[in-house]
Amino acid sequence: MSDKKHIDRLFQEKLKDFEQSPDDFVWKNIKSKVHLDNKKERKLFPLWFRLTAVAAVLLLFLGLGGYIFNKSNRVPNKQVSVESNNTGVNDVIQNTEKIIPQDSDLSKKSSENEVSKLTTTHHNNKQQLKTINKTPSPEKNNTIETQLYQDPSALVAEQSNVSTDNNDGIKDRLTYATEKNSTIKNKINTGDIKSKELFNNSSQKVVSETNNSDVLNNSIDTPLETDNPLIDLNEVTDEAIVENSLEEEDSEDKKKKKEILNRWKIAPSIAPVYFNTLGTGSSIHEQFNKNAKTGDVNISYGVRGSYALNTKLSIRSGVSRVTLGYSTDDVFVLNNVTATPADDRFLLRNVALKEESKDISFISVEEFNFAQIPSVISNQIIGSIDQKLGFIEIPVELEYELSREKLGLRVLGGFSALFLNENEVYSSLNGETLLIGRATNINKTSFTANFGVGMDFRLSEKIKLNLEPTFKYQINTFNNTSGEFKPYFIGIYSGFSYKF
Amino acid sequence: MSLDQLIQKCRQNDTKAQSELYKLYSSKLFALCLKYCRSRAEAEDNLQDSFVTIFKKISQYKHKGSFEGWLKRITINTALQRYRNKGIYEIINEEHIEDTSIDIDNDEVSIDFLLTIIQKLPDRYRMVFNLYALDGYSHKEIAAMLDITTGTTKSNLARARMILKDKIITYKARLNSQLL
Repeated sequence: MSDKKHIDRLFQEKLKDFEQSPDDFVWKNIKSKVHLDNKKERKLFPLWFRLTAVAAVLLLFLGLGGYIFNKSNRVPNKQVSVESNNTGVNDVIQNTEKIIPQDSDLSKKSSENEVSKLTTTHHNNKQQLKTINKTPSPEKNNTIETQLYQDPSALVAEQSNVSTDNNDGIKDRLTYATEKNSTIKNKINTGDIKSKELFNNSSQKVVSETNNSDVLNNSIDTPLETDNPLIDLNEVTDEAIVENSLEEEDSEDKKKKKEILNRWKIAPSIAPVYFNTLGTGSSIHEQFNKNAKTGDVNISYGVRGSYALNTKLSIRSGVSRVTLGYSTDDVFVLNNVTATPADDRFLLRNVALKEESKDISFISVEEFNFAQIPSVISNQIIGSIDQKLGFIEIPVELEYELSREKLGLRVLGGFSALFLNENEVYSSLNGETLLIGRATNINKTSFTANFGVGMDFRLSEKIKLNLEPTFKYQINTFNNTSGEFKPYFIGIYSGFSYKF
Repeated sequence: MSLDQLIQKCRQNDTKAQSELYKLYSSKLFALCLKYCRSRAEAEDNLQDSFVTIFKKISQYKHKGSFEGWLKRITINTALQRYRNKGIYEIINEEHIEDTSIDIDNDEVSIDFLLTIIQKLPDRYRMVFNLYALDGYSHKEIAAMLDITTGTTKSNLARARMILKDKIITYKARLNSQLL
């Protein structure tokens, strides 16, 4: 049977519930593209390296006694709860939105889901909705409408209870939420709502039953004009989305501003540092290349300041004192052996001996045939050469935050300049240590390349405890080394930081 | 997993959650793409671009409006972007607009046929027809979205209706002659 109908109507009816699955490759493309975009975002990091490498911030602060825990600052909490309240109220609105166009085919399950999002203070709503869903009468539609319209007022009632019980802050927030609620309602009702028939049923009842909401009355009195049911609440939704994003931006701006106020951070730290070398080599003489080397554990301490470039990235610098040391083991320390000075085989090429130590000879055990030496003697004369170095370290590092929870995680990388300020060589034999001179092959200025991972534990808004295991590879510290002598040190830096 | 949890996981770039979300909405949104694009292939492209945008911007969605509405809006905007500034359209006088009612039974035409004739409309006619007739936007909104005047959108709509009507009539005529 043909009948005359508007062409729009024909398309609307046919395409109303039209759905079609796309081919599988579409999802594959999306997946790889999203993945790629994420990667690209991560690649932005090195760009910052270049931009900020120029900047070096140097801070030195002494006397860090006056840090006060600032516990009165509760602003972020407030923001959070305002939002949660909003969403609570908005969920109710969502309910209304969803229920109206769908007529009575709202399932119990979905509405309960929606409702379960409400905060516990809105328990009554849930109860109401549950009972609505259980009533199987033909009036169901009406009742739901009415109840839902009453919801906001129920909320208001509850809110006022809460506000008397508790403090003013909550009251503020709740009224704010209610205001939002009613503005959105306004939109729903005064806007271009065109599904007249859907509203008609309920409107009378609403008017008679709810007498406390001006907004509602207004809107129901507003003439409902056109005949296009499709322009129903989607518009409102969209407007709400636009509003949402505006609001979000606002709160994000606020947060950012807050963080910008606390761009600076100062952190004293102390660390055990362990020095050693990669590869087999010696900084003293090639005869010791194969000797065992024992790294010492020393202490580094200092203070650094950092400046946040953005929410994730900080540049930092500071000053610290670092002592490094290591021993070359299995060395014969021979006093007064008639080694001819010309025989450079037994001299320490890179050590300037003190006057009184000039007649000591150092020979690697490797040079001897053990069979020739009785062990009684060898125990007496085998010792070690200990080298001790001190530096003033000035690092320039970038710090990238991976997580900013209570337990934070970040990675850091950068360079340090080392300025030599201590340089001693000892010989150690049978527990006796003797200063024999100083190394001649250590540069006054050298560098390290630094990589580390930082963990922190937030004690308060401003104070954090830090732990930073860091690997520092030394560049250009020693001249004239033999074999593969690649020194490095590892420090476990711990301390606290103060934001201001 | 509730929708909220799913959205939350998508925000953290959880691939599994993204796949889940895609499964939930891809058929609906693909239908939308088919209406707004010129062909299936372009619709697939558009769906792809839409989902990439959705996953990128999902943190901007804050559970206030309907999530599906948000997804649809993004999909439509992606299509509009795709065909923006393509082609010039004549503006016809509204007086010339014929009656666009048509003598037809729903069973006489298939969804596929209707979809094909929508897809074959010139870009802007297709956009305006979809937005107005199928997705319920007003002329004022459409004018703002496409950056044209409401006069133009009305004219475009009328033109689109006429083209569609002609095609349906031709189709019916052919169908009848085949039956004879």
